[in-house]
Amino acid sequence: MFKPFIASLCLFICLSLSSFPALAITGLELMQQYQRLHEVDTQYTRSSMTLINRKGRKRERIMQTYEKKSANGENRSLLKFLSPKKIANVGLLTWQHSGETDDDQWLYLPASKRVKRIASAGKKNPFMGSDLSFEDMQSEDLQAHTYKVVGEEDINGQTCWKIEALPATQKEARASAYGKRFIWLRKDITYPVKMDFYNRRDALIKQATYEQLEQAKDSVWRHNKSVMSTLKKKTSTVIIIEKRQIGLTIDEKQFNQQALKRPPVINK
Amino acid sequence: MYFQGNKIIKALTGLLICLPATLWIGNAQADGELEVGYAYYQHDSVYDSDKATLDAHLRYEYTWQLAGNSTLLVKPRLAFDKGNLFADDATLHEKSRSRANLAIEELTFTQYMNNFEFSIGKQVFSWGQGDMYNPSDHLNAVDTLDPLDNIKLGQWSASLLYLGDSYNFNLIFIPRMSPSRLPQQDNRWFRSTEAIQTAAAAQLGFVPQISLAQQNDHHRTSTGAQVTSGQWLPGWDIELSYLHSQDATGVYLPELNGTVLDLVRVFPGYDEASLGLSTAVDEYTFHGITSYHKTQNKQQDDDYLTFLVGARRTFYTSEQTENLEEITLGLEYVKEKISRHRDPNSAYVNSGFGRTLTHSILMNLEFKFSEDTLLKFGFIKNFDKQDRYVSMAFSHQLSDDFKVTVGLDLLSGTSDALFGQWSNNDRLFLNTSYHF
Repeated sequence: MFKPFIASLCLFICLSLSSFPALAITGLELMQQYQRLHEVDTQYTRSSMTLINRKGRKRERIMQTYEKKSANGENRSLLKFLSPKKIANVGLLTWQHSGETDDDQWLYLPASKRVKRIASAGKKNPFMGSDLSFEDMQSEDLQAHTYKVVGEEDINGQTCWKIEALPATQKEARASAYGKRFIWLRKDITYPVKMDFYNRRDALIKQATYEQLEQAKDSVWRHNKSVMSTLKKKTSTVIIIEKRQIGLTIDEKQFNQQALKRPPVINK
Repeated sequence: MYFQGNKIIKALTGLLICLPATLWIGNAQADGELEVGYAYYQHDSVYDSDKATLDAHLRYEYTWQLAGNSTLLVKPRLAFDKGNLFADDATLHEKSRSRANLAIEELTFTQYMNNFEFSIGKQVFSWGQGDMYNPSDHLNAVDTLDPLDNIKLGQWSASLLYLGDSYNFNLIFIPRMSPSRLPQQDNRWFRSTEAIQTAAAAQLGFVPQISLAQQNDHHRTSTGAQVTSGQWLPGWDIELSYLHSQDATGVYLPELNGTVLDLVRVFPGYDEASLGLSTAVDEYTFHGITSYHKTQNKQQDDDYLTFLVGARRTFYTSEQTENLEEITLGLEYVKEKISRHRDPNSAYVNSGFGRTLTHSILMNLEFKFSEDTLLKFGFIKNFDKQDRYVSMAFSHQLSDDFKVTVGLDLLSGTSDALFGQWSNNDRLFLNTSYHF
């Protein structure tokens, strides 16, 4: 007598699963897919960063960044400012560690010819007067956050997964300026096009959009323009990528504290 | 080595003038800065009757990226002030007793190889992890013509840097070490020799005239070695260094010549070993440096150990208030412990410019109101001498390239102390700088 009941139950479960395909994939799986598709071992970018204050006054900085996934799988990046003159050759070296370990960061100021370790726990703090904080410039640490798919939305005609990202540990919650983030990932390419940032009191504080997407290499997509806005201050930072190279050979020693002092290689 | 050949400077000047035309040939970075400064001194000085000074500095920095992974850095400086206007020769080597109109601050050729960097030329080095003071940073002499400026003089030197997997090793060779220039008697920063004169008078039975004309330069060969690592201890930076050199400010050897007491400036040789550590904990950075200085000639100077501890934190306040973005506080404590005093019968006396922070606290407090506007306070107090230096500077960036700074320097203490002797040199200043 139980056979019809079991058959009905199986049918119900099968129908349930097939009618909600979007929920079959978890937020973490989507973020893992995003990293698998778009992360590269090495990358060089030259970009302009325009800071726009509440009065509309613009300040432009040109910078170049070298990034490499090191032998132990952790990310290393070297950022150098090329202009304006007053900050030319200022450099920032970051060794990003996954999980609980604090990142290592060093700043080089040419005027003092000194490389100084800086407190990476201050990653929530603004980067060089921009609307970006140090944590906004790091690659997504999947171990430090939990991800949950909360729905689907159309952004500029493209269907996106809307993912909620929360700090996974007490330490991350203390270190981050964000109590919550919403990430919109385009479904067709699993690439972010928008992000909303909430503070610990659950108030929306910043918004970012990622525009001018292009297929940089195979499955790898990149945006050529990003806009980060701080809502209360009414300021924004626009980053335009002027040049990008993916998969180039970068020596590990490029990400060395002493190498931080070297003048930037100018690729005209 | 005083370059009598101003022709060299003139040729370099010609080259620099032609630079804009040659920039297109290779990749080059050029950075210019024009600084004009005005200072008003509150009190008269017995050494300098002028209460106001006006000076201008035009600096250029060219970095050429040459073929074969090499660069050439040239950093000339054109300077004018009331003291040296057309008075001194151009120089590649700061030996003259006042600033030259045209000098080359740095001139360095660097070859980059896989694991090595080799640099040769006139160079400025920075050792140590301190924010305001570094007891191990003695490769370059500091120009004390205006001691508050704290400008390093380039040394003609060769440097080999090895970039290892977990550490870096730097070897520096300076064939002829060049010392600091001390302020002369027409300079309001001149250090009074009255105490030496009084002591000599008690011994001699008459008051001798003092002459500072003689200087025994020695020009010893200096060798330095430094190992740094950010990986030996996770989360820590370690710096080990050794320096075999000569004191840059020197001591005086009094020599009686009739009724004139010649204070001959000599530069004691020494060996110095240092260890520095720095780390970051939460939002703080901490650093500590210890340095042992052993003088070769026990008649000339002491042996001593210096240690320094410091911390820095930036408070980000933009969420709390719209008008203030950051407050940065840096603190350092320095203590010197003499392990062997100079021979009590030694004729040598201190010039007063070296080893000034013997038991001191240093503080730097910065208020960043915006990317354009900054207010800085500085404070140094030596507990041994009870003298103080307080500075304040308010700067505003009118554009990315143009900055105006107004501020004041206040010096106080007893007349035998470093800052105290200059208590007549309290000043208000206005500086403008333009980058191009």
